[in-house]
Amino acid sequence: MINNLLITNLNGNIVFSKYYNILTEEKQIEFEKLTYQFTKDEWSFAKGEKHLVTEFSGNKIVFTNVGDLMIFLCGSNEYDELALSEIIFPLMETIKEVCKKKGVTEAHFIEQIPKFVLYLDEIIQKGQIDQTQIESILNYSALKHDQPIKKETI
Amino acid sequence: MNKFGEKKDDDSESNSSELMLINLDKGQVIQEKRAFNETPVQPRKCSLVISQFLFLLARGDSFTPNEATDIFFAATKLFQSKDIPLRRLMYLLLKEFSTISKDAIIVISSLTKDVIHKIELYRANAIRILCKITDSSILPQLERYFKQAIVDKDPHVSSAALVSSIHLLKVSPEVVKRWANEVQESISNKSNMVQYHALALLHRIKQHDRLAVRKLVNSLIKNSVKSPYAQAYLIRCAVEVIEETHTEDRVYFEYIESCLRSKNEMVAYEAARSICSLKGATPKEITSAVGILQMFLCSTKSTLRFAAVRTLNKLAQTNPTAVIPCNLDMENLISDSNRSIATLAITTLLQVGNESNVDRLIKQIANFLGDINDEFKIVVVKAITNLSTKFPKKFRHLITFLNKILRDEGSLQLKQSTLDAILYVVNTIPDSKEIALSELCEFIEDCEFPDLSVQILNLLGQEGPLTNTPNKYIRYIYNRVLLDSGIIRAAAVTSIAKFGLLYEPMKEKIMILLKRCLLDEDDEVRDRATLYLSLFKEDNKRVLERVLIDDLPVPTQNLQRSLEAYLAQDDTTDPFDIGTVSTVLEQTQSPTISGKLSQTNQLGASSSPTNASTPGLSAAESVNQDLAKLAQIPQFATYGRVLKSTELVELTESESEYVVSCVKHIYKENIVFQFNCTNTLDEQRLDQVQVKMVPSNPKSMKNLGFMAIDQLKCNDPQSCYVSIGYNIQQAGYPIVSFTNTLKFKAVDVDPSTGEADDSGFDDQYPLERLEIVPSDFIQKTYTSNFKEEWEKLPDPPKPTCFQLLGVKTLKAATQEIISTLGMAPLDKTEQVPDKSQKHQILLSGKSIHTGTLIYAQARIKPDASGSNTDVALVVKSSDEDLIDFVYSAFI
Repeated sequence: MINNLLITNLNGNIVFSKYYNILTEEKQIEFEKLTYQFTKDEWSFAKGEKHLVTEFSGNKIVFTNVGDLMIFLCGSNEYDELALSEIIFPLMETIKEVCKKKGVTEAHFIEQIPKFVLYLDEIIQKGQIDQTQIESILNYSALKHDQPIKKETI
Repeated sequence: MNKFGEKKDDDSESNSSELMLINLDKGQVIQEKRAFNETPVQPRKCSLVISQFLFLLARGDSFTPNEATDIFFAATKLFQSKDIPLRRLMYLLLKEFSTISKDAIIVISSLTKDVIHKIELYRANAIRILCKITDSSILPQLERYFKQAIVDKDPHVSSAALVSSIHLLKVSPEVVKRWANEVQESISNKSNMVQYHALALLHRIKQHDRLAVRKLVNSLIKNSVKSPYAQAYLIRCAVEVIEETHTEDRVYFEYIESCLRSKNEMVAYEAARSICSLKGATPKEITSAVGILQMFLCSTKSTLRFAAVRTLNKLAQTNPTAVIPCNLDMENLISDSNRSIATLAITTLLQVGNESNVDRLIKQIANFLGDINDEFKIVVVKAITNLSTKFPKKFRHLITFLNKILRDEGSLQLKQSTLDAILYVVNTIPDSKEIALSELCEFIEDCEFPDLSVQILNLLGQEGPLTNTPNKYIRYIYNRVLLDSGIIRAAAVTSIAKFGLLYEPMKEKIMILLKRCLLDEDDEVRDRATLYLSLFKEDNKRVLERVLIDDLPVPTQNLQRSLEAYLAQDDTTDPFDIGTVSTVLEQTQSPTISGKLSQTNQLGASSSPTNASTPGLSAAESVNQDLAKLAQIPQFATYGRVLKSTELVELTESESEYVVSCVKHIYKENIVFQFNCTNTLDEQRLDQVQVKMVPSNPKSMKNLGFMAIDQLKCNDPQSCYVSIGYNIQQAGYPIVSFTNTLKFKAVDVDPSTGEADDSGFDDQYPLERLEIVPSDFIQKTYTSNFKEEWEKLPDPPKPTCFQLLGVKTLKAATQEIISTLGMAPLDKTEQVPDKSQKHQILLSGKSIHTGTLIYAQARIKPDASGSNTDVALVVKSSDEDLIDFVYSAFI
C-alpha cells in the first residue's frame, strides 16, 4: 500500500504529513529521520521536478521538489517506484494548483492545506490509489466560489 | 472575530497582511461550528470553518470522541445546503470524523439519498463515507446502492465504489463477493482507472479460489486490457497463477513477454521484472527482459533507472551471467546523481564482476566516492568485503580502496565498518597482511577515534611480529606511546610487549622501550609496562603467553552479558562456566539500500549498530529472555533445569510469509523445541498456531505435548512449543530427525483498521527439517593442554573415516565439523591456513548430563574429485555411549 506522504520545506521541516499505515509516533519520527538521512544530499538534484528515489527497510520512497517544498511519497509491495512516481505527478500538480496565485512557498502552501487535503482525498483513498488524472481530480474538488476563503471575516 | 496568528518567520518575506492558519486554536474552532446551525446556511462561512477543522487535523490535533461527535452532528446539518463546494468539504469532514465520532451510523439515510443524487460528486463522496461507516451488519441493506454505483456511468463514481469495495472486502467479504458480476462488467469500462480498480477488486474477491483466478486471467489476457494500470496488475496475476499452479501452459509466459513490448514503461517494466523473478523463464525470455531493463538504465527518469537497476541487482544474485550485457550501462550509473541508483549499480557490478575487470571497477568507484553519503558508503564497503572472498588475488586493490575510505572524512560508524572489512580481508587473505598493516600504521598516526586506534594497535601486536619485517612497525607503535591519550598508550604498550614475545631478536630492545613507559602518568600504562617488564626479566614465557596471546574463547560482549546475568541470579553456588557463553557474535543490522531486513518490522530498523533495538538482541540476551519465558510455563516446570539451549536454526527463508526459527532447550530427560514464529502478512491473523513434528525414529523418544500460540498478529513474533522425552540409559541418545509443518487457522484482517473477520480457514505451511545432533548434548570446554589429556585416554582401534558430501573447501568442512559436534576448537585449529592441502582440527567438550570430558581429533583433506571432503575422526572419552553418539552424527 501507499504508506505515507510527507511534505517538507527545503530545510527539512515537515509541513504536512499523512500516514496511511498505522505507525506509532516513535516509528514515524524514526522513519522521518531515516528519510532525511538517506535523501538530504540529493535534494538539490530534485530541482525542476525531477523524481528521485531511495529505498530502505523495504520502503520505497520517491521524492521531488516543487517550488520551496519537497514531496516524499513512500510505498511498499505493489506500490513500487514507478507507481509512486505516477502518483506523485498529480500531487505536484495539485500543490501547484492550490498555490497558483502566489507560487509554491511554504507559507502559501500551509494556508492552502485544507484545499490540498481535498485534492489528496481524490488521489489516495486509505492507502490505495483512486484517481491520477489531474483534470478529473481538479474537476471534482474544485470550489466554485474560489476566493481565498481566509479573507472572509466571521 | 477570529484571530489568525501571523507567522513570524525570518526566512520568508511574509507579507504582514497575509493571514495564517498556523496559530489556530482548537477550542475556538470548535465554538465556531455553530455556523453550521444558522439558517439559511452561509456557504462561505461554513466552508471556512470546515477548512479550519481540516487544517487542525492535518496539523495533528486530536479530538476526543465527544468533541468529534458534536462536530460530526453539527456538520450533518449541512446536508440541507445546495452549494456544491460546501458539500464537498462537508463530505470530507464527515469522513475524517466518522472514525472518531460515536453513532456515525445516523447519517446513513442521508447518505443513501446522496448515493442516488443526480450530481456525480455527491454520489462518489457519499459512497466513500458509507464505506467508512458501515459494518457487516448494515452492509447487506446498502448492497444495492453499491452494486448500482459500481456500474455507474460516471467513471469517477464507479472508481470510488470499487475502491471502497476493496476496503469493504475486509469488513464483510461474503457480501462483497456477491457483487462479482457488476465488478466483472466494469472491467470493460472505458476509463483506465475503473478498469484497474475493477480488476484489483475482482482478483481480491477470487483470491482464495485458484481456479477462478486462473479463469479470470485466461479471459483477460485474450481480451487485451487497455488500461496500463490494469495491464500491470494482470501481469502480477499471471505470475501468481504460474507460481501457484506450476502450470506448464506457456500462454501466461507469452502474455507477459508480449507486454515487454508495451509502449507504457510501467507495463514493460512490470513484465521484465516478472520474467526475471520467475523460475520457469527460458533464457530467451530472460534475455529480452534484460534488454528492456538495459534500455531503462539509460532513461532520463530516475525512477525508471532505479527500477531497472534494482531488478538487475536481484537477478544478479541468482543469474549473474544474464546481467553482464548491461555492465557498460551500469558503469555509467556509478556517477548517477541519485545515490541510491549509483549504490545499487555498484553493488550489482561488483556481484557480476570478474577477475579481469574488477580492478578497473574499483578505481572507477573510488573516483566518485566523495560524492556519496556515509549510509551508502557502508553498503559499498560491504560489497567490497564480499569481493575479497571471490577474488583473493585482488587484495591490493581492495585494501587500498578500503584504506581510502578510512582516511577520508566520515562517521565513526562508517570507519568502524571499514576497519572491520579490513580485518576481515586480513584474516581471510594472509598475503594482504603486510600491505594492510603498513597502511593502518599510517592511519593511526592521525586517527581521531580512540576506539579504532586501540583495535588497530591490537592487530599490529598480533600480526606484526609474524611478518618478515617486524622492526618497521615498532616506530609507529611507540609514537602512540609518546603522543596519545592513556587508553591508546596502554594498548600500544601491550602491542609492543607482544613483539618482544613473538619475535625473539627484538626482545632486548622491547625491554628498553618498556622501561621508558614505567614513569608514565597513567596508572594502567605503568601497570602494564611493569608487569610485562618483570615477566620478560624472569623470561617467563608461559605466563607471558597467557597474558598477551591467549584470547578469550568467546566474544567479550557475550561474556560480559553472561557474567552480569550470572551475578544477577540469586543462586551462585554453581561456579560460572565459560562454556555456557554463546560464541555467536551479535549482529545488528543497519538499514541498507536493498535492505530486506530479516526482521520484517518494516520501519523498525535501527540506524546505528550501537543502538541495539529489539531486532538486534544479542544471542545471549535472547536466550535469557527465552529461558525466562520457559520458566513461566507450568507444563515444563517439572523438567528441572535447562542444561543447554542451542543456537537459533532458521526453518524458513527469512523473506517468506511466515518466518519460523527454532531453539532447542535440553533438559535432563526432555527436550523442548521452541518455535519463534512471525507472521509477516498484515491482512492475516493466525490462530492456534502450532508446529507438527514427525520423527524419523519414533522409538527413541516419546512425544509429551505441545503449546500453541492463541493469536499471531502481523509482525508480533511469538513462540509455540513442542516437548519430547528421552532416556539415555534405556533408549540411548535420541538419534532422530523431524519433518515439520506449521499448522494454523488463518483469519483475514483489515490492515488499516486491524479488524478481523471471524471466519477463518485451516491451513498449513511446510518447514525445513530439524535434527538432533551431538552438539545439542555437548558443551564446549577449553583446555590449555590438549596433548596430555588426549594421551591419558585409551586409543580407539582405528579412526573412523567418512566423507562430507558436497563440501568443497577445507574451511567449510572445518566449520561444519565444529558446528555439528558443538565442541570447542583448540589451538586455533578452527582457522585453516590458505593453500593448505590438509588440516587437523582439535576439539574438546563435555557431556551436559554427566560432565564427562570428550575430545576429538579430525583430519580432513579434499577427495580426489575435489567436490567432497574426506574426514578421519577420532573421538576419545570415558563414556562409550557418548562416543557412539558423536560418530552417529556423521555416519
